[in-house]
Amino acid sequence: MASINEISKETILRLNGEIYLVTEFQHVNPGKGSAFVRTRLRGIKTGKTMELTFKSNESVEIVEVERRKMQYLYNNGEMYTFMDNSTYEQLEINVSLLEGKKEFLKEGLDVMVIKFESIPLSIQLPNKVAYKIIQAEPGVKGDTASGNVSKEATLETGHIIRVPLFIKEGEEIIVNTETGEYVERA
Amino acid sequence: MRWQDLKNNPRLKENLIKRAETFKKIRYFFDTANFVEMDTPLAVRYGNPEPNLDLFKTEIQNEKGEKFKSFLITSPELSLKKILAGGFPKIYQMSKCFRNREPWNATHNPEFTLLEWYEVGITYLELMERVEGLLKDILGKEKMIYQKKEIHLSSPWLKISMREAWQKYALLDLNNYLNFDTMRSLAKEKGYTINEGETWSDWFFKIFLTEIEPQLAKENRPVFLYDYPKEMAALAKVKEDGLYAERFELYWSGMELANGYGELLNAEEQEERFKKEEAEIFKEKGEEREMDQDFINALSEGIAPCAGVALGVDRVVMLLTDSKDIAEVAPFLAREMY
Repeated sequence: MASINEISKETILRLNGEIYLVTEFQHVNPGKGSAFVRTRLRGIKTGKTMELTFKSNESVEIVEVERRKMQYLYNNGEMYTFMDNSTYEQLEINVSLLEGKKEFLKEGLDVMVIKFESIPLSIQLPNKVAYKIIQAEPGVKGDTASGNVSKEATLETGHIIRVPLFIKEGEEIIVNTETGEYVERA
Repeated sequence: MRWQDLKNNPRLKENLIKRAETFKKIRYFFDTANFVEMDTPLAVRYGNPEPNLDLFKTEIQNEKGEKFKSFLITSPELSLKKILAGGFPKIYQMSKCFRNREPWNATHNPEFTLLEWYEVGITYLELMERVEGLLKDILGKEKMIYQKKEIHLSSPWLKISMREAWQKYALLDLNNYLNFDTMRSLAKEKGYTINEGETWSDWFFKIFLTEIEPQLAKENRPVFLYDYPKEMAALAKVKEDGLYAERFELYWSGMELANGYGELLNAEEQEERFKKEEAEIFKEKGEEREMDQDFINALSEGIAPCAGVALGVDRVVMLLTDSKDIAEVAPFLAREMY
């Protein structure tokens, strides 16, 4: 048993006999209340998502999972294909398990594939990844209304993020894949 | 180091100027409404017995070297109520408060700036109007953008009681779940974990934080949530129905901005609640707390019916500057210093 305080994204829990993947979690301290952890969980068998809040000192059963380094190859829309570079074994993962992640998958990227009883559950991206900018307006004027001097730019994966005005098309930048935000020039 | 940030990041500099302007506006608002500003001690002899807050503990010595326990305030509430008992009807204090073991995250820092005020002769419902007036005054706009979301300030702000909120978002009549057994079965039936030693409030919060609070964050205007179950009365007066307390919180884009009460002024009831909370603190943390008898005496002496509220000033500045993280409006944070 472990404390719910130790969970992170991609932790696998056993609750009432069912296996769940933690897809989101947040520590909350309601005014005058004790500390809680709000979670979003996905049932491994059912694929259904549910929200649940725990008291922060609660014990939960964290299930050991298999983590394997694999390389992203390509996708055909629904299925994303990864390969283990040591065994050349390939694995297909359905797009529904890659929410918030597929935007950051570029060919050849090494990720951790998380499996439970040999069923793929999710992937873990490296925290910081370099991407080439394939499209960006020249940095003449940006959105200065909120005081954030930035503009939109398209990553080589097709995903659009906000970058500082000085970033040009063709440059490489580092992106935090957790927050989806620009970090620095690569 | 953040002083270098100040040189390189014009936005941080701008935000600190807006922070200073906010302080001035707040003082102007209260001074013109004939409130008197107080600056009661930040280090006090007795800590507030709040089971869910951790105190900064220190020690004070006189010139003979005699030692006394001393605590940094979690809010100036007890001192300000003593001032009310001393005959001031309208007072406010804007000062640092300290809460140990709070998360070091985007919306918390163990040392933060709190505005607290009290007014004799108004109810907690009227006080909600004053809070709305103050914030409209400070923010000075009909609508604003906070984190890409439009918030409408001109139309009346949503005021919803806790019972109405449960009805609206969870389709349940909270009155049916005010006792231990019914709330326990409700939480269990809904699939929440039930553990030994948990209380009614724990199950209440598991459901509230999952099914109700996130809905409040979706409103495109600020939300006053009022009439908390009496278990969460803290220092608020219990209503005549005996079930709910005269307490409200102001939610804004999911952030808690203010917490107010129709103040509990009955000395015996207050003493009883303190004893209960002290017992809880001893059970949870093994800490022995001494009661501030002077505060109980002040209540016995009599304070006219009044309402009071505490408002997080750092969070107000975050709204004003469209900042996601307290670091954008406060340059020295625990998470950077330690």
